[in-house]
Amino acid sequence: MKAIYKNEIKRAFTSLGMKLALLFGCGIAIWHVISVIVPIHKLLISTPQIYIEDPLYIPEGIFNNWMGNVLFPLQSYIFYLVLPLLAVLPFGASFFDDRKSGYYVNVCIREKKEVYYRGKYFAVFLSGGLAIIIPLVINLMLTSLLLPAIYPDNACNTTITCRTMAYELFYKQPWLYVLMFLFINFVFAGVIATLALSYTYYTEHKFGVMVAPFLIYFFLYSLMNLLDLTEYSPFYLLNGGTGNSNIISYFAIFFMFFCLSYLIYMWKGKRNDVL
Amino acid sequence: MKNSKVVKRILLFIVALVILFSTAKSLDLLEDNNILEQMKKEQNVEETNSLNAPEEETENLSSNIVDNDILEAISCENEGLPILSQVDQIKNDYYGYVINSISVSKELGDFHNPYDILGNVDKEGNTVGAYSYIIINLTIECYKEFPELYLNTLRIYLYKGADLLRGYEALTSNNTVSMTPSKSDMRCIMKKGEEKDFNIVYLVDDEYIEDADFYLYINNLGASYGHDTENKRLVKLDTKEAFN
Repeated sequence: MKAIYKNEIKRAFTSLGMKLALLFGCGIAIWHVISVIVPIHKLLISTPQIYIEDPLYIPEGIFNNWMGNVLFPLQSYIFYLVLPLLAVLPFGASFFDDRKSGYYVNVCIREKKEVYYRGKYFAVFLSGGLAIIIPLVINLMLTSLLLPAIYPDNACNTTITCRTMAYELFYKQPWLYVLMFLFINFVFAGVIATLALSYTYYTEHKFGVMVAPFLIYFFLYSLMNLLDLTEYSPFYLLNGGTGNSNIISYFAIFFMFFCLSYLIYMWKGKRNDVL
Repeated sequence: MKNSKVVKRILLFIVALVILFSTAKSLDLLEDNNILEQMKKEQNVEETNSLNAPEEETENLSSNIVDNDILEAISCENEGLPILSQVDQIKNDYYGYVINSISVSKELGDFHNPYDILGNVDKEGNTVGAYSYIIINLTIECYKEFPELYLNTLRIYLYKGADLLRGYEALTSNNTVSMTPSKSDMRCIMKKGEEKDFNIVYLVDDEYIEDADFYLYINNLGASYGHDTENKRLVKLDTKEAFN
């Protein structure tokens, strides 16, 4: 059992898709630092003393400006828009490849089918989650190099208000807020990547498998936009600076994605004959 | 096999339709601003203008129609919010607002000196150049324990007819209940049933003061996401007395 898990994880992390996803994700993260954070840093170090002495002066800090906490710069917007594609890229289509190449049959005649399925699900989840949080962590680290980690001040933050979920955490323990959103991004990216697994049963095209999670993600965004409920779409829920007010929406969307991925994937898998 | 293909195509069709409609909505194509509707509106205005009857009543009627059109256009531009007048009851779920007076001044009153925030103000706090302070004195009553009130969520919009000239954020206020550790004098906390008087100050270009109509836009959530339209208010301010 362990060998299957280990093997699947190793395959996920050494895949070309993982390298491409990290290259693209980290590229966006660095682009954000160069075009958003560096100008703020320059402004900060060139601020005249008279401004600093003003009791109303609030310098810019990490927590209001890193990519995971702001959706306005183009780079953040692109990152959160293509998030499902980045999450699927490392290992999302591997189940499709395994079925096509016969690898799946070779494994399942040596080991229990359920073990292979669970190992695959775990590896896809892990690779999808890490492909998203690694660029975010890099962005956070680079931002920390350039901006001070001062407590965010509500006078200069207009998106996190008293109606925002965990707003007290943001103002009192901002690092915990950052960790919380890294965790949210990890689990959502993971579960979004696994949507590709269940869709594998319904298509003959690898491209379809890769694009299906993005389509579901974008469909939800469009549907919520039509219903004037954009703040409940995963696109907004995943960013810490969008003023999300309802914790239930996180659970609801995660549960829906989990059902669409794990339950269909395992249920169809049990019914499928290996040979 | 055939059935699953049909279901797949139907699902894809629904997805495409939703994405299409959502895009149309984002591009503002779902409102009643289609070309036919606009032509009809223009025709109505032209007809109203062409009446040009000598009778005073007809003139009043015509100007009322034009006024209503302007208010409707401004309302459309601001999420369809009804435009209240200063004497109307202005309240939302969180607060009630009574606008007591509006004044214009070039000198700093009993406020935090906004020197060096936006410029155009000297060290004594008086405006420099073609700028004036517009001071709105209002009483705010708290209906609900809304944890924080930001006075700078009350903005003013200056319109000439239906054309937006500019919007201004509050510059300073005489809010004396400023919270520590926040450095903002725009933030205060009120208890349910509590009433407070505030003077909110805006730094406005002189060139707009005489011509423009002033509207106070109230959105307690500021620029945060979420619509909360039912709690937003747009009030046309009566500035005639203050500016004459």
